[in-house]
Amino acid sequence: MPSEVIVGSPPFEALPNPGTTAIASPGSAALPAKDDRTLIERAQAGDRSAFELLVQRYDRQVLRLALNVLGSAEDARDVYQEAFLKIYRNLHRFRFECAFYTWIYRIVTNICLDHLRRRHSHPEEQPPLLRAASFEENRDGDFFDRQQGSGAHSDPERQVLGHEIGRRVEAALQSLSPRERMVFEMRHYQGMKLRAIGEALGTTEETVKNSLFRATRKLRTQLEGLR
Amino acid sequence: MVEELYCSNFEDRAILYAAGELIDEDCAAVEVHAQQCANCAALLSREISLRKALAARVQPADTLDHSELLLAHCRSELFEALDDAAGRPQRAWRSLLTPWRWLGAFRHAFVFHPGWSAATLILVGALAGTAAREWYRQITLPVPGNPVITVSAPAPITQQELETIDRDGIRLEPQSGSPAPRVELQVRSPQPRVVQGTPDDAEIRRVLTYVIGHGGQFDDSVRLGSIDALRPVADDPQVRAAMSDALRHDPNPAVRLRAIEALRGVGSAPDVQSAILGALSDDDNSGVRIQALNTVIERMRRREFPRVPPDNRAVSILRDRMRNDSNSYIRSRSADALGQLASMDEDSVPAGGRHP
Ligand SMILES: [Zn+2]
Repeated sequence: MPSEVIVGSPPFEALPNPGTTAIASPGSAALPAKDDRTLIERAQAGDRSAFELLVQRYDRQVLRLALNVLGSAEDARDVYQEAFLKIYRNLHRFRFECAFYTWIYRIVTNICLDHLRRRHSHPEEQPPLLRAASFEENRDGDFFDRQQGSGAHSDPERQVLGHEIGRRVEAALQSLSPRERMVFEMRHYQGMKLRAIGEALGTTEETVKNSLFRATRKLRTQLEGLR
Repeated sequence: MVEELYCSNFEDRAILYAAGELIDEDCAAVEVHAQQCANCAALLSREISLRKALAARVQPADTLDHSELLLAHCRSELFEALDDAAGRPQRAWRSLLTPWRWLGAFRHAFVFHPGWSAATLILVGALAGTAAREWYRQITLPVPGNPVITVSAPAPITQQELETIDRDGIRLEPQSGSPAPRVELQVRSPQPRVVQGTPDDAEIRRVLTYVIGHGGQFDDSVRLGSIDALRPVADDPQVRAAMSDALRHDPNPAVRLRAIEALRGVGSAPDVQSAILGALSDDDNSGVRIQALNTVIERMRRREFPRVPPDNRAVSILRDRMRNDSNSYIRSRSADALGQLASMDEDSVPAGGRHP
């Protein structure tokens, strides 16, 4: 492990936070939460367009969460539909006792956890990593070439690094229990705070913290030797 | 600080440190301890390395929904399901035996075998090229070079100035608490200056509409960003025209897609309708055609699309797509849309009207 990282103090200040490079946390999304209230009230009164606006405010993050955790476009699409239909049907029960995104995440994480648990208990149903991508590979052999040549991953260093460790990181993440996987995803890739994750999972910050500790230790063991 | 920091509890604290969960005071304690204790320094270093490895991971969401086509598809599927729940289109179906109904059932096969259409979407997503998301990373990069004058209230920008803006001469920066980004423009010629503002300023709006109309002069990410920035004012006739233009002519399908998405909320102005129909008819990227088709159908459902007589362009394009599109999803969905259109006509034509 590179010990030079911790020599001197500046590296600590410059510590990168992967969870916030590209994504804003749902709570700090571009639109302030106070706007939600009016929309929610209108949607509760039956205004369809208000509900659609709410969907569009949160669905990008919801789909990302499902895609990242489940690694399958089909499953993520199922989660998306199930979650938002449930949100629609239960909207009248939302009483502003928590942030709206917390309420949404409660529903979404439950559905994701169900999917993960089903897979966990039937490992044979575990889809290969990025199944949809490999699906395409069969039809059109240069899928990954095109991915790599495109704007998103054209930084060569990032590309090589990503390619080399991607598979191992992905495998390591799959070794986590469903709940640890969710906690890890929400903390690291969605940038949510532990307290908010606890609210979404219906548990305490302390429990979430312990899941994070366990998850981190497992990942570290799996990725030992990787730099 | 919650509890004293010792070697025995350092590991947990290092995990929280690397996860950004500690307050400043606790961070400082971790750093001080690491500087004095080699074992714990190694632990902390390990945590940081782990974080870097995880940060370098290409997230499945970026691969599986590269251009957010899946997102667009999920949305329209959801809104359709909500319509179904409200019983809106169902009542329009007249007969089990109409070909539309039959083809509609074919379309529903996609719902039960989502892999088929998801795979199609992923393929077109891959074809779509640029990752829109990348823009959010790029916009925070500093613009090189030192400005000579900074102008906060934008003075009029001349055509010459517009034409000589560099590829990296424009920067869009998100503002907290506002959906509109802050725009910074570095003008180099004839007199170097920096112009700042938001899309609410008419001058800035003019610059952004210029940007989305000039695919060769500006990077994909900047054009995508400009479309997003202009979204809240997409009803403005100039903005609308520029977006319609981008939808017709931008070389990058991801930009064309973004333009359709922005035009989705815009009312039924003829130029917009025409651009969307044009995309459905002529765009060579099936992802763009799917999005155009979804938009047409959405508008029909909300009856925002003007009532369409049977010989109208929309109908002939839908018929053509139903028969000739290379993409099976588009063929079946076009058939479905035609069925709905026909029944909407039946619904609204009084008895003894033009249809027997
Ligand atoms: Zn120590």
